[in-house]
Amino acid sequence: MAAITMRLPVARKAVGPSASSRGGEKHLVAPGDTITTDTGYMRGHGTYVDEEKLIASVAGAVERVNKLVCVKALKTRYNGEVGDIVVGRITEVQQKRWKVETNSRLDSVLLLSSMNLPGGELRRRSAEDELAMRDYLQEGDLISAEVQSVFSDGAVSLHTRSLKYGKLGQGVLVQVSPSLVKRQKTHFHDLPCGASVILGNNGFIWIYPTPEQKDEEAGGFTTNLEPVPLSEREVISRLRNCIVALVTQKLMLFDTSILYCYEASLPHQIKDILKLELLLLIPFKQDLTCLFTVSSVQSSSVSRLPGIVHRGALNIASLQHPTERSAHEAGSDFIHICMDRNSAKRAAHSCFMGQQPGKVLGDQRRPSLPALHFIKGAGKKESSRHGGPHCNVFVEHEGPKKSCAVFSKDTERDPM
Amino acid sequence: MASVVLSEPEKLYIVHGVQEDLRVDGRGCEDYRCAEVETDVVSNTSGSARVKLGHTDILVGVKAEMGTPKLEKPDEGYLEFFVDCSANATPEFEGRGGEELGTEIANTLYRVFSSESSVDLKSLCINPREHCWVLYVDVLLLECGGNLFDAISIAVKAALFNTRIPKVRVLEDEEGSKEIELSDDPYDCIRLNVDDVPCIVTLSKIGYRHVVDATLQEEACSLASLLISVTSKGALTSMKKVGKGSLDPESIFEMMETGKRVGKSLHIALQKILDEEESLGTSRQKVGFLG
Amino acid sequence: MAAPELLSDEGYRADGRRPAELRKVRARMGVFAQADGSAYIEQGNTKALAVVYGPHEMRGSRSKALPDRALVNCQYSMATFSTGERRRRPHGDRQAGELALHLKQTFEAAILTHLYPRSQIDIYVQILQADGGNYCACVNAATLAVMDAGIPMRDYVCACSAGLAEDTPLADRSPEEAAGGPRLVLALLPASGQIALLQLSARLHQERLEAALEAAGQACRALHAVLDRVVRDRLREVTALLGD
Repeated sequence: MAAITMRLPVARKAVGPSASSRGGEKHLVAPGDTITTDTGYMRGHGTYVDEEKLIASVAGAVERVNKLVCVKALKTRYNGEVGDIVVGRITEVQQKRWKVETNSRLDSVLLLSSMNLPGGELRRRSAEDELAMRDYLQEGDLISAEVQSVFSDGAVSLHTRSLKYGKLGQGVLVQVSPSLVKRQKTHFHDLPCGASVILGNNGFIWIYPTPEQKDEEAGGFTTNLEPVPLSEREVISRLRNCIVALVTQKLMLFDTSILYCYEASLPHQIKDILKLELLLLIPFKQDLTCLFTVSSVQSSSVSRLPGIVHRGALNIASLQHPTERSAHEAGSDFIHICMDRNSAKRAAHSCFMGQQPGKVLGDQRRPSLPALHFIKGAGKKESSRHGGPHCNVFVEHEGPKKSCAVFSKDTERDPM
Repeated sequence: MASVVLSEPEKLYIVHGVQEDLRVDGRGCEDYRCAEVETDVVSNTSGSARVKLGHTDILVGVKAEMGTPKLEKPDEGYLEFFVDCSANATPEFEGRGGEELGTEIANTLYRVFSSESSVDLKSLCINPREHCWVLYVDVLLLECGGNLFDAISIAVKAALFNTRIPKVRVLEDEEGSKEIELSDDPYDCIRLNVDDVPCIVTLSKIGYRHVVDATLQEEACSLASLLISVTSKGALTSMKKVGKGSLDPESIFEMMETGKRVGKSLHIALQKILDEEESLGTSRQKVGFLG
Repeated sequence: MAAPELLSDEGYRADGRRPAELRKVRARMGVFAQADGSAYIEQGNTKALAVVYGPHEMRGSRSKALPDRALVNCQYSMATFSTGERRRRPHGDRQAGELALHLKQTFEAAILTHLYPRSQIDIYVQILQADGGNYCACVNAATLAVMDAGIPMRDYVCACSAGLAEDTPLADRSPEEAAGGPRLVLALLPASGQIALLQLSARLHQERLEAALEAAGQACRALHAVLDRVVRDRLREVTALLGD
């Protein structure tokens, strides 16, 4: 039975002035703005010097690290850095190297000598190897590799010298902006839902079925061409839609955020995830303490809490300042959450942070909520304000500075 | 056509998925992506529409101009199609790169609308053998995300629905020469009846099954496709096979059946949205590209 | 005589604007998801779309790659339904070619091309509705699109047209005012005041040039303020979402 949905376009809601309070502490600049006239600073990316003034050259937020000032643009092509994991597609087979497209400003290069041989052999590449290049990697093939070095003009040289890199087999590729992929210790994740994902730093995300034999890493020389079972396909499709949904809402991508999005989307059909009516907020897992502690363990400082944590936090209490305080410093801040009893039975899965009247902070009134939300019942536009089958989170907060840890302290008592 | 390059295992994954009726984005073989339709986007035209189907973005403008009827059909007006594949969609379309695809699509549109009953051409006649309305339907391809023909035909139908042709009066003076007088009232216009305007349904054969509304990746896996134009009543007005592969007759019949079924639902959905938009009237907030 | 029609006794123009007033500007960045950068602008009834691809590897002939900087490649195209009278070809005619060259020249002055050797930056501009000030709308849209793509620029590039009614300079000429009289098109980098493109047609007395330039410059700066607001709203929206 064919399912065809059409809708009228929705006007984008303007970002309210309340959002400026959050953006205010970030120094936002546009090209031509003078950042500073102090000559003591070194200029980094996104700036240039003109008559002793440091001027921004891209539109973005200023980042200052000691004496280095740089401007991080919102969306750029991938800029290679040594040690990054990338997923790329072969565009050309040249004499002793392959040209790889990695969404950067120049095509990357994979030298024949940087490619691992079958079985992990170590020997000098011969003329036969040169002739056999196309047997291994052809135009259109996908590879996972690591950045070995960066040439002077910015082109990146890749290597697949470890058995975990190499040609990729069956799976799905999603292309996103590189700025949305969070830098982590490892980019190869085996998600508990049943699929694996490679988060390339260049914005290419590869979702594939988890291979059964984990010990035998062939380095990509053998590709499994058997059909993937339906259950794994569903997981992969769902993950793909979740990633696209996260990207549309401009949330950072890392394994936890993808996982939470996945779990939040479980009650819905896979193809409904991308419908605009559903893309409003993501219900956070009830166990928010877990969310916060996991994320605070992952990150080195509270100020670098992963996107989704910020999302919930920001939504609830407009936590905007990446504070330097440690996660355990409570202070006199107090955040208290009360849940609507009506939705207790649904609450196990779907608590959503909405805009609620009451003492909620600043950009809670901001209509374009940053997180995604799946409203129960696709197509039924039930307004949460009328006590629909959702649990509403009322947030009261006192004190100007809030830290995420405080929030977690309060969820220790069972909100349901 | 703007296409993506895929690796062999990726193609295999897609093909196997289609066999099991689960495509990469979770859709079934007969599901369309969510489409966004808006009319009256450009004001210099007699009618316009914009359709977004996934990543495919099409803008159609219809201009009604007065011209001379064709010799073989002296009491009818006619439609002229022009398709511009702009470089916005992909850098490959820069300069003359998009001309080939543009002419192919325009020719398909001519064929689809060649049936007598699609548009009431007699209503476009002003003076037999002398004056008639010529509707120039200009299609602008802004973004290419697969399934161009379907999106274009939906946009053309929506634009024709939105077209308002000013009413004219033919004044005859003493010597017998005729003068055309355009009505002063901008709201005094004739609308076209688009009930019989067909929509194109593209069925791409992937493996042993066929899918509708293929994305760019799926199009790269499909060797042959069937383009069917279906009216809202389920009647076929034209059919064309594209692609470098071949189809066997059984699959063609199967695809035709699917096409008719899907085409009818497409028309229902489109008419519903057009009526909804119409009912909003002047209170409708025009979004255009600012949304 | 053009002058009495252009400016009424009370000092209002044909469409009710004051001499130095610009038409209403509405703009949006990030219109298309697949391109690197895109923007849409409405100036009065003129609607323009700009899309930027790049910087990326040179396509076509590698020999044209410049070893020390990026190649800026522009195309200007008008939709066939954009003008009152239907156009035959969207691009490929001489006017489109000339305007594309002007765009290229303007943006080579503004983009820091030395940061991207051997790369190519494509800027494609499409006019959806032409109602005077086409080139200026294109330049403004392209500025926003280049910023959306994250390509470093020296400054905004704001373009505006100006005309003269007797001694009063008029900013942002609408098509009714465009016929007759001197026409001045100016593309300015507001922060530094550098001129990226200057075009003057029809006769203009030397003494009046400065006044006209000044009016156009003022108009560009006013436009810069509007575009800046659009960019900052977008920045706020996206950084707020990113949270980080």
